[in-house]
Amino acid sequence: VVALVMLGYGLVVAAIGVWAARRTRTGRDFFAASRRLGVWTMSIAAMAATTSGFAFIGGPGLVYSIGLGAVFIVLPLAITTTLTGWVLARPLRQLAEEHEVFTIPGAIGVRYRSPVAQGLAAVAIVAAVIGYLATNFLALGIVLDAVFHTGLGAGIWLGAVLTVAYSVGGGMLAGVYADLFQGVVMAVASTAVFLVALSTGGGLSSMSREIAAADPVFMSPWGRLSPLAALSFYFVFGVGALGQPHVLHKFFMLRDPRQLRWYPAIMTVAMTLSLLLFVGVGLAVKTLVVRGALPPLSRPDDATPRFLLTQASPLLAGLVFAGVAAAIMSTVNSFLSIAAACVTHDLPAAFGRTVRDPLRRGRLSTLAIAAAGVAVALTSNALVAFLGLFGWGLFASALVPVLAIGLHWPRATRSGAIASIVTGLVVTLTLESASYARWFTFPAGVNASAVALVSSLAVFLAVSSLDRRAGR
Amino acid sequence: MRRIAHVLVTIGVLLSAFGYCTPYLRLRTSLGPGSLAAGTVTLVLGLVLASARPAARRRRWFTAGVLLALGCVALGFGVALVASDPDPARPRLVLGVPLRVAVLWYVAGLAPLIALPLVYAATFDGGQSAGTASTDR
Repeated sequence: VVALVMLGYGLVVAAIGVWAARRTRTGRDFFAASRRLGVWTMSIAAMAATTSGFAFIGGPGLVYSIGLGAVFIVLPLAITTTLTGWVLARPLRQLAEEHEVFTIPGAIGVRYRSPVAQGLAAVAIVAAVIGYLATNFLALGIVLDAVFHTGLGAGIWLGAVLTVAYSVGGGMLAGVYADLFQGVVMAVASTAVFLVALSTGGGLSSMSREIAAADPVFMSPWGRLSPLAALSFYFVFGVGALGQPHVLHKFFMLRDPRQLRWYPAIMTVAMTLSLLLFVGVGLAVKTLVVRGALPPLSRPDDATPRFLLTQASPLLAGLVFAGVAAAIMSTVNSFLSIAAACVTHDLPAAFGRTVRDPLRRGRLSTLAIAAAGVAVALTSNALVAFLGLFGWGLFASALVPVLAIGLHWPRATRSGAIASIVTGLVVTLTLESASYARWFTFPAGVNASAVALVSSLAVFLAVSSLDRRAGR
Repeated sequence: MRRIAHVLVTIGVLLSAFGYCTPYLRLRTSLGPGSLAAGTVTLVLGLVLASARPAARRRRWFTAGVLLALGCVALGFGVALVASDPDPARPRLVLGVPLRVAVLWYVAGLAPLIALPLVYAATFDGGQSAGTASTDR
């Protein structure tokens, strides 16, 4: 039953891909869905693109392993969608209308009149996308292995081939309509499994009591994290939400900007429903382990598959696995499209060149970027959650200062933007690589993403101020 | 207003940076999280003020809603940082979770989750576009 539901889901996504591929004739169709979306489609597609394998696989695993401190990753949802609406939705949309911009690096290039800033932003996005793709291919491999017993490596390849097929064919148009379908599947599946998790645990109070009695630290507000580490999650995921190009890119596709009035409300409801699983499954699995009904997990990322296969009905398990696959595939598709746009449009623009056949080049770029993501997923040997943190952190440090502050601060300068993007790139890549190679360890609560975000914000403010004082 | 917003953003960044420096400076352990929490809230407030259109800022809904939401976030962080559970193995539960967690989830999480999208919709000015000044340099 589980496999049949998953196959049915795969067929619907494939049908959307074929439908969209027939309607994708130009580069603008491929990269920006031809600016024809309504606010419901755009908001649910943005939710589907945001809620990735990180939220459905990595998140519950993180709750299981570090306790309630992991909730600080989803807590900023309370402010981020509205903040994005205020800070970025309208200015980005206006740039798109006035300057025919359809990528985030393109918007940065226009804002600062700097092809260099545009090119650097594109490099940052491509690097972060490869990390994020690896997270999602890894999560998809775990799901396919759990359902079809493919083995992790074959699961990664299988998931990658299916997702890349509809991304290459239909580009952003396929992605958005698949996202809409997938977003609905995710919200329904997440809500249903949350109710099953509550029922399995005997209610939230019962789960809290049992876990607290066995493991009091787990049930503290910070879990096993230090307060600084938990608040650091809030900082990186709250402020960092303003630099996520796969969400911001959706503003370019909206048909009528007046509909933005309802974007935060729709997005907030959709996100809340789809993230219920994040907390619910993590708590339920911990409760079952405390009770002795489940053996302790050797790999925290197995929390969601283990819970579904042992506690949910086959039909619900199939729906939720489809929801997990939907979360992953919709995010992968969005990432592939924005990274392909960077390679096809923004990097050549940084050198003053244009690509003759953007549709064909976009499809080839999509394939190359997907291959890089699969290679990292197969070789990195990292947890899903931590690869996701790398991608999110790099987006945040490279893009938040130049967009969230720069679009509203008349004194922001080109040099400030370039220095800030370079700082985000260099600090994230250097610290993450050094930390991964265990050349050093951060003290509790400090991590590479946070240091990079604070550094790039400070550099942006300082260089722009000094630049102005020098009369430039 | 833009100048105030810019000052708030700068203060928010400096407080956050200081929070991350505290583990290296060997200062009191609560100083780092407190500084990061204050920095995050100040930075977000600065960004909201910088980006809100003048027409929206003039509406009482806007000021009240933003201050209420960010006040809830600050309160939730403050309670979680300052208060302690007398018996963590048998905590007092509120709405299914220990008290400090309840303040964090329902006050810092749920209250802004409901309030902010409504404030945004109520103060949205569909006829006005974002300032061209931001694109003209």
